[in-house]
Parts: sequence; structure tokens; C-alpha cells
Amino acid sequence: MYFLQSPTATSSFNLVLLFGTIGMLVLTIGLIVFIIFHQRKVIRYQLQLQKMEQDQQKMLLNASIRLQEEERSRIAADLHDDAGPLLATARLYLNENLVNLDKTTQLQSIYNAKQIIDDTIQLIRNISHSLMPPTLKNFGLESAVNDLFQKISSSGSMNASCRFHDYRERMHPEQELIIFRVIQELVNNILKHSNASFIHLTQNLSGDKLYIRMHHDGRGLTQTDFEKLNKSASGLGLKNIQSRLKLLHGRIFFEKDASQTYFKVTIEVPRMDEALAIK
Amino acid sequence: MLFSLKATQKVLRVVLLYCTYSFLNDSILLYLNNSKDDSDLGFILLSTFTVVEFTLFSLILRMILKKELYRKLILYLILAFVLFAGFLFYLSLTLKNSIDSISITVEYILLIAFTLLYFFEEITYPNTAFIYFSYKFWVVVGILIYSTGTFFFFMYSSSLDGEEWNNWSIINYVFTIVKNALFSIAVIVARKESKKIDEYRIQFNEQLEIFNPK
Repeated sequence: MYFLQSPTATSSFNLVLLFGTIGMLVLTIGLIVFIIFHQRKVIRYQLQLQKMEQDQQKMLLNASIRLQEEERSRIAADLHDDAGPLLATARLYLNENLVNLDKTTQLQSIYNAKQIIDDTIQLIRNISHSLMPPTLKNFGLESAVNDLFQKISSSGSMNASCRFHDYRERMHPEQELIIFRVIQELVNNILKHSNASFIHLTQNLSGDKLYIRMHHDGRGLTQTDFEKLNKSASGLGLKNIQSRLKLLHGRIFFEKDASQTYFKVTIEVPRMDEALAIK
Repeated sequence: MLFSLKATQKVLRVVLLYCTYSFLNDSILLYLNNSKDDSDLGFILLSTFTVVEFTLFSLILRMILKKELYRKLILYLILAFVLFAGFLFYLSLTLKNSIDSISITVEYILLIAFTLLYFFEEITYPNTAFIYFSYKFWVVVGILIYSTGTFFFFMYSSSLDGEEWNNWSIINYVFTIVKNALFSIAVIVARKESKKIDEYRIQFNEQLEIFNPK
């Protein structure tokens, strides 16, 4: 503090110099400390976000693996429980032919075996159609969705209608398949859980985005419910929808209509280039 | 600082150049002071040091900053400052001043502003690594602490008489030591950084050899 012992005329001048320097130093150190802590906070937040994203990815991957396994079990069950016994019966009839030399009985058993083989062919065709609907492959998304809705309507359980407003140009087959699977999953959910009396689907194009909206009058989900289910261990179907849409860089919104009578689901998918879609 | 001769970072080379120049300049000034030299040589050396110091520090900060706009701005300000300091030097020679306090004050204001730009960039585009793991941070902190610490001393230096100047010079000495210590930390951090990069490079090359055997 010997600076302060200088002559009184310059003491105030010395004070300015001393406190100015100290003040500047404090401000500088304060700034540096603030920057360090702020950056640490940002990095910690980023890491947390990254971890959350990884968890979400893991959950989606688990869901898709489980769904794949379920699908495999279903196909295995269909083949084992339906196709297996049918083919075994056909084999029995054909074996009978070897034992019975009576021509009428032989003809009868051949006819029975043929009937059973026809049934098996039909069964296998149904399984194959459920895996990959031929309408979707040959005629596109619009026809496949129309087909699906007609089937639901004709079953009498629910009134289902759909209208494609702007679908002159078909999307890439892989994109169409993903969108169709998402629609199928949503329709399944509505059929299983909503107790609705109707479903109505509309398709629109706005800019570079394709919109598919579904309305129904049953019990439904809001966006908050969807996000909650997405984070929880349950809601396998919804996670599957989410992971499928992620492939297309698409989004899904669940909301209740302004009139509070209908539930609305909107799927938003950007129309991508062919090459990009294949990637 | 001798270690930085091996360092590949351009910033550290400029820091080393500055330290060498600063050491030589201070030695000559000390010699002139002890020999009671009355010529303008001391003033010329001090004024030249201000310009060179500002230019080198600005170049360091220019190398560190990422945004092109800031880099261009620094370049123009270096040119403007050289002209401004030259003009003041000419005036001071005719007025027989002992120190160019105005140009030093302007120099420090500009340097503080440049370092703030660096911190602003760091906040705007956050890195995944902590800021103090980068040698650039320590270089910038060295410049900032030296500029802010000696700011008031040099601002009032032209109003100080011989005894007061000697008394207050301790501020300059302390902050010069602090600055050099921070630059040394920068060199240590840079050496660690380059070691890590070398390790990664070796690992990468080994992996490449595994996947693409000759």
C-alpha cells in the first residue's frame, strides 16, 4: 500500500489508478469465470440431450426388434397352425390312395386332397398379402388405402372412408410402404381401442410436404398422451410409428378437434427425391 | 516457451515471436534507463513496441477467431491503428512526450474488444470440449488480463512523474509475469493437445493397416 503514501495532491489520482486497475481485474476475472461456468453448463446440457436422444433411439430400436419378432411369431403360428395341418391332411388323403385300390375311393380322396391344397394356397396367399399388399405394390398408396378402408367398411364394424385430393404422382415404393404401415397401425389402434363409429382419411399436398389426416369419433390420443406413451415402456405400436416416420423425416401430430367431438391424427411427410428416398 | 519451437500451432509461434521481441525490447530499455540516455531512442522503442505488440496480438486473435467478418475487421483495425499510432508518434516527437499513453490506451481498448469477440464466439458456437482444454483460451486470457491490468497504469502514465512511474511500474511487472505464465500454460496445454492428436493418429493408422493390409 505504499502507493497511497504519495503526496496528498496526487492521492486521489493514485486511488483512481489503484481502484481502476483492481476494478478492471475483477471484471476480467468475473467474465472469464462466467464464460467457463456457462460453457460447462451448456456442455452438460448437450450431453444430457445426447443421452436422452440415445435412450430414445434405443427404445425405438427395441420396439422395432420386438415388433419384428412378434410378426415372425405370427407368421410362424399361421404356418404351423393353419398351413401345417392342412398339408398333413392332404398327405393323409394321398397316402390313402396308396392303400385303397378302389377307384371311387381314390378319386374321392384325390378330390379332397385337391380341395385342401387349394385352401392352403389361399391361406399362404393371405399371409403373403398381409406381409406385402399386392395393391400397394402394383397400384400405389391411394389404391391400397382405399382397399383397406373398403375392407373395414364391408366388415360392418365401422364406417370407413378415404379421399386422396392430390396424389397424381406416386411416391417411391419404399416411402409408400412405410406410410401404408403407419396408416395400418393407426387404423388398427382405432379399431382396437377407440370404439369409434367412423374413420375418415384425407390426403393433401402443401408445398413439399404430404399430409395425411385421420378423423374418428371414438376415444383417442392427444400429443401429450402420445409423447408420454412414447417415453414409457408400453406403446409398442406408437414407437413403431415414430421410428418408421423418422426414416422419412416425417412427423405425427395427435390432437382433439376444436369442436371437442373428434380426434385428429396428422402425418406430415416431406416429398423426397428418388435417390434420397432410396438412401 | 522454448518448447513451442516444436509446436505446430501458428498461434504459438506468434506468441513466441512476441515474447522474444518483448524480452529484447525490455532489455534495451533497461540498459538505456541505467545509462541515463537522454536521446529519443527510448521513446522510439516504446512507440514501436506498442505498434508491434498490437499487431502481433491482433494477428493471434485473428487466427483464433472463426468468423470471417471479425477477421476482416481486425485486419482493417490493424492498418488503422498503425496509421493512428504513426500520427501520434510524429506529434509526440515534436511535443517531446516520454510515453505514447494515448496509443497504448487505444491499443488496449481494441485488444479487450477483440478478446470479447473471442468469448462471444465461444458462447455462440459452443464446443464439445471444455474451453480451458484449448491452448487458445489461455493465450486469449493472457492478452486480456495483461490489457485490463495495465490499462489504467498506461492511461495515466503520461501524467506520472519519475518517482510515481517507478512506484506504479510494479503493476506492469506483475501483469507481464502473469501474462507470460498464462502463455506458458497455453504451451503446456498445446503440447498435451498435440500428443493426444499424435496418439489418435497412430491408432487410426494402425486400424487402417488392419483393415487394408499391404
